[in-house]
Parts: sequence; structure tokens; C-alpha cells
Amino acid sequence: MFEQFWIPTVTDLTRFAPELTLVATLVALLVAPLIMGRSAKTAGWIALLGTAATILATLRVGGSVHAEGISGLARPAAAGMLILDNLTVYFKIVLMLFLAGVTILWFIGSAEKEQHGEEFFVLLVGSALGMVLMTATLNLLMIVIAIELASLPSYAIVAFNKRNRTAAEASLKYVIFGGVSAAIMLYGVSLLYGLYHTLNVADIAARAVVHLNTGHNSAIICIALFCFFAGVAFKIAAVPFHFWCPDAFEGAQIEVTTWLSVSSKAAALVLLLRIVDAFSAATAAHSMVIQITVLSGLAWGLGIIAAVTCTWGNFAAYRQQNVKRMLAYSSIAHAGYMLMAAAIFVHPNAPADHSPIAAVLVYLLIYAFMNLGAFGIVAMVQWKTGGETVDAFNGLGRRAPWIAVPMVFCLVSLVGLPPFAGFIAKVWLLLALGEAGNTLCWTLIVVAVFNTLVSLFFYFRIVKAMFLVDDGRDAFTPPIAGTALVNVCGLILILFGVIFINQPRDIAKRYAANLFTPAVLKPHDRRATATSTTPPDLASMRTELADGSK
Amino acid sequence: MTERRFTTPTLTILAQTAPVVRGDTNIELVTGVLLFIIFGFLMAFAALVAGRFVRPTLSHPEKEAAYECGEPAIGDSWVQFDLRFYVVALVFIIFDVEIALFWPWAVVFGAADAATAQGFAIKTVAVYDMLFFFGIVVVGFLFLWRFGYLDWVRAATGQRKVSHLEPTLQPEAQV
Repeated sequence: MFEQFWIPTVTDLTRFAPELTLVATLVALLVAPLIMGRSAKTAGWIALLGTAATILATLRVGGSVHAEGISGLARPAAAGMLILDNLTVYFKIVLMLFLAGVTILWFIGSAEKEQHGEEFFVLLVGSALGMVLMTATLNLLMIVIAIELASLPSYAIVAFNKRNRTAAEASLKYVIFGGVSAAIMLYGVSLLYGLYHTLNVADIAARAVVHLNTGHNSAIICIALFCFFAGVAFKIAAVPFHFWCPDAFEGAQIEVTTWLSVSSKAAALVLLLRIVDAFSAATAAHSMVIQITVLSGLAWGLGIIAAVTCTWGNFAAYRQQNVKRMLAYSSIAHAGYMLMAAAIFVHPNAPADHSPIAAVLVYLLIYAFMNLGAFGIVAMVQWKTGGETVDAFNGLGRRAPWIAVPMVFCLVSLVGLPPFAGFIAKVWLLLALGEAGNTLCWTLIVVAVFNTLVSLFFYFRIVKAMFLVDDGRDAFTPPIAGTALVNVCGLILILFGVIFINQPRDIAKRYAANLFTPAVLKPHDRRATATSTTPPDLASMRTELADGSK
Repeated sequence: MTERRFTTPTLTILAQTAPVVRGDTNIELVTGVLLFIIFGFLMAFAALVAGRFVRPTLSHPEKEAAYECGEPAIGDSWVQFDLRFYVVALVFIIFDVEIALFWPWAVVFGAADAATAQGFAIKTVAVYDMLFFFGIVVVGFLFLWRFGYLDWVRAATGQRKVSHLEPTLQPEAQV
């Protein structure tokens, strides 16, 4: 009777050393105060050490990744439970670097007055663990659990300063919105499981393609998929699931805002890429007509959401006075740009060299630096002057030139103008769009360029306040470590924008190639016209479905 | 194929007996869902409206009370509950769920025959698994215990400590 019980081998466990390291960090964060007494700084150092250990573990494990990734920590039949492939390695490294940046920001600003450092870092590292798991799974239950694991600590950490009414309100909105999204997503997940009796997204995709093709009850599968994607879109903060984002970002402590602005979007985008990859791989065995019908439907759906998201984000940002809120809307807009790549990635004429995924990965990396820099400067202005509106930046060029100049770098980079890295990131994105070269892609290019133009205005309002408006406020000296941090970010933006233009993309391409594909869906290359190699189980499924619907 | 989809006989039976979505066209499905929603609303409202016309209206302060239980209500419901109730409730739920997770583990552990090599391996792994899992829960519990989240009379102990030094100082509200 024990054939059904599966025991992970040591090799399996070794492959997931990064995740286990994060769990160990969580436990260490809780055990350390029991032994050494409470100290916020100790907690910060443990988190930093845990982050470094996770990066080392990821690098160590990353060397052993085979061509198409490994699915470990699950019985062989339950493929996709926990995936180790190049994409997860890349994401873990970027996320951990960013976590380290946020921790350093916390050390600069909040470490002195923080009384609950242990709880703060348990929540922060806990949400990081959830995000890491989100990007490394193709199993419906794991997706739900990972999204919840990423969300629940985020809700709590937004309201971390419990005496702050704005934070409490923001957190409550976040919780309610998150709860509703989770319910919608669970509804979609249960519909999918009810339809296909499997938790493996790759299997579901294969069956859904056949199902959509037969045309029976295709409405229910569309509803199920829509509900499923709604949960992911909530984490990306894509319109119309973006309402939590500005409130949560405005109410939260600034380190938390910095953390959420990049990590939750990045994790959900990678998860989305993985899901849509499963769908496009599932169509590989079918005729060109089916490929085009199913994939272009998905691509147009995502494309429209992407276009609406970035337009909405930019126009809403235009009216904001609070800089945190403005950057929140800007992050919605940037999520829209990245969604565009996801949309063309599934398009039937998508470029074959993984350039859309590579474009997203480069964008994420550069976006992390832009946001760390911009939020770091907003944080320092807030710590020193107490203001976080655009007025607080008046005359910053005179008052604190060492942070005003990197702020310009970050803002211009966020707009996407040369000679900064944001421009390069956007160029790779638009090039990937142009390579596909169909109606959807050209529409998206026009939308992206138009949005860049719109975003110019609100980002430059801060630049204008810093250098052209001076109402004689006092000069101040920002913390030295913080100044160093944001200047490093600014320097990286210039280096990636002028000298190392190709390197991030080359690295990203290497990591974007060969996403994990479960055995059932091979051959992976969806552009090979593999109409003759229909897997036998797909054929049987087709009859099964046809029988079921009579 | 089936082996991958259903791991246990129970699930297989459940899956085979599960109702299949019938209806040949999307229209039928959409109509069905629409009818369900419309009638769902109608049922709820019809009951309320019917009650409105049928019932006698004899108002009485006792009947207007939120809790009609025979006891006069004290104060209103907008009081702030002590957070300690929530802490205790959360701890209870964590250990409650833990027991629920212990159950399948115990079944497997009990069913494994330690005399065979495989059964012994499963028992060994199961013990370590559960120790690891239990250890993580206990770490959280120790954290709560050590830092006084379980002390019911926390404010009073704080007062006693402080009052030695400064008798006038009010205890700090620390929830």
C-alpha cells in the first residue's frame, strides 16, 4: 500500500536548498531573540545573512540545472509541484538582492526606533518565501498556497506601525481586496479541477485547448481561466485589480512600499509567464488553426489588460500630490509594460528566441534598481523633513544635491529616456514587440510610446520641484549610507544604460531559455509544426470530452 | 494517465461519480447560470417582501434590541475587545489545525510495518518530518510565551514592576 507514499531523496532536498535556507532564516529570526534577547538590529543582520546564504545556495544549485529544468520535491507523476529551472534561479537572485537592498534601507532609516524588528523581518522574509514559491510551481494548489503565503505577511506588514491610522486603513483595504481576489481565484481553481480532475497546470492547459477546440461549454472554461488569472492579476496590480495598490503603498512604511512595489509584481509576472508558457506549449501538438485561435485569444486578452493597465496607471499618477502614491501608480504602469511582453509571448508569431521573456527579466532587474533608488530618496526626504508630497522636494537640488541628482537619474530612467537603463529596458521590450510584428504588437508599441510621453510629465514634476522651484526650505544632510545606496543605484542605471547595454539582456536570455516543461507536453518548441506528433493521451482526451458533453 | 490523475481509490470514485457538466451549447450554460442568479435573488427578496406584508407589526423595545435574549443589554456592540482574546484564539487555531494535520500522519505511521525495509524507512522519515513540522510550530509558540503574549494579566504585572520605582506612573498599554 505504500507505493502511493513518496519520500523526497536527499538530492531532491538539495535542489531546494534556497527555499529551505529561507525557511531556516525564518526559524532563526524567531529563535535568536529567545536566546539572545530582543534586538531589532540582530534581526536585521539575521535577515541579511539569510539573504546572502540564499543567494549562495541558489548559485550553488543553479549550476546543476539541466537544459529544461527539474521538477523536484514531488512524486514523478505530479510534475510541476516545485520547479527548479533557469528562470527560478534568475528570479531568486534578483529577489534576494532586492530584499538585501530593502533591509539596508531599513537599517538606515528604521533600525534605531524599531521595537519589533523580529516580527518585521519574519513577515518580510515570509512574503519573500511565498514569492519564491510562486515562481517555482505549476501546480494549482501550490500556486494558491504560494500566493497566500506571499499575501498574508504583506497585509500584516503594511499595517506594521499599528498606531498609524492611514496604515491600518491601507492594510484593511488590502486585506479585503486580497480576500475577494483569493476567493475569485479559488473559484476558478475549483472550476478547473472540477473540469479536468488534475492539479497540474500543464495538463489543464492541454485539456483546455482540446476543450476549447470542441466548442462544448467553452464559456465555463473561459470563466474558470478568467477567475484564475484574476488572482494573479491582483498580485500584479493590473487594472481592474489594482485598487489596493495606491492605498497600500501610501499607508505602508516606506521600506515596505519599496519591497511590495517590485517583488509582488515580479513574482506574479513570472508566475503568469509560466502559466501562459504552459498554454502555448499545450497548443504545440495541434494544427496551426487551433494554435492561432487559442493563443491569439489569450494574447489579445492579456494585451488589452496590459494596455489599459499602463494607460490607467500613468493618467492616474498625473494627478497625485503624494510622491509615494505617484510612484504606486507608476508601478502599476510599469507592470502594464511588462504585461505586454507576456501578451506577445503567447502570440502565435512570438519571436522564437525567448526575447519577450528576456525583455521582462531585464526590465525587472532594472526596475528593481530604479525603484530602490527612487523610494530610497523619497524615504530620506521623509525621514529628514517629514513630508512626502511633491512640495517636500522643492529646491532639493540646493538642499541636498547628493540625493537630488540620483533622483533625477531614477526618474528619467523610469520615464525611459536615454542615457539610462530604463531606456534600454524599454527598447528591448519594444524590440521584442516589434519582432512579433502583428496588429496586436504594433498597437501595444503605440500604446507604450504614448504612455512614455504621458509619464514624462508627472515624473518631471518632481524634477521641476527639485531644480526649478526653490521656496527657501532648510538644507539637510541625508544619512551617508543612504546617500551611498541611492548613488550606487544611480550609477548602475548609467552603467546599464551606456556601457553594459547588452550584458543584462545576454544574461537574461540565457536564463529565459528552456523553461521547465512537463514530460506530457514535450516536444517543447511550439513553433515546430508538430501536427503529426499528437500525444496519444490527447487523442483519448478528445474522445473523452466529446463523450462527456453528449 | 489515470494513475497520475488520481492517487487514491477514494479520489477515483469521487471523480467518476462527479456530475458532468451537461448542455451542448454555451447558451444553455449561460442561461442556466443566469437563471440561477436571478432566482437566487428572487428567493431571498420574495421571502423578505412576503414577510413584510404578512407579519403583524407590534414593536416593543425588547424586540428592537440587537440581542433578544431576555437579559437587558449593557452598553453597545462597538466596544474594543482586548487583543489578548485574538492572540489566544490564534494560538488555539494553530494547534487545532496541527492536530488535523497530525491525523493523516498518524494513520500512515501506524499502518507502516516496521518489520519490512520499506515500512521502516517510511516510519523513520515520518518521525523526522513530524519533528521538523512540530518544531517549527513550537518555535512560534515559544516566541509568544517568552515575550509575554500569553500572560493574561500582563498590564498588572507591568504595573507592579513599575510601581516600585515610580508609584505615579501609569502602566503602559501594551497590546
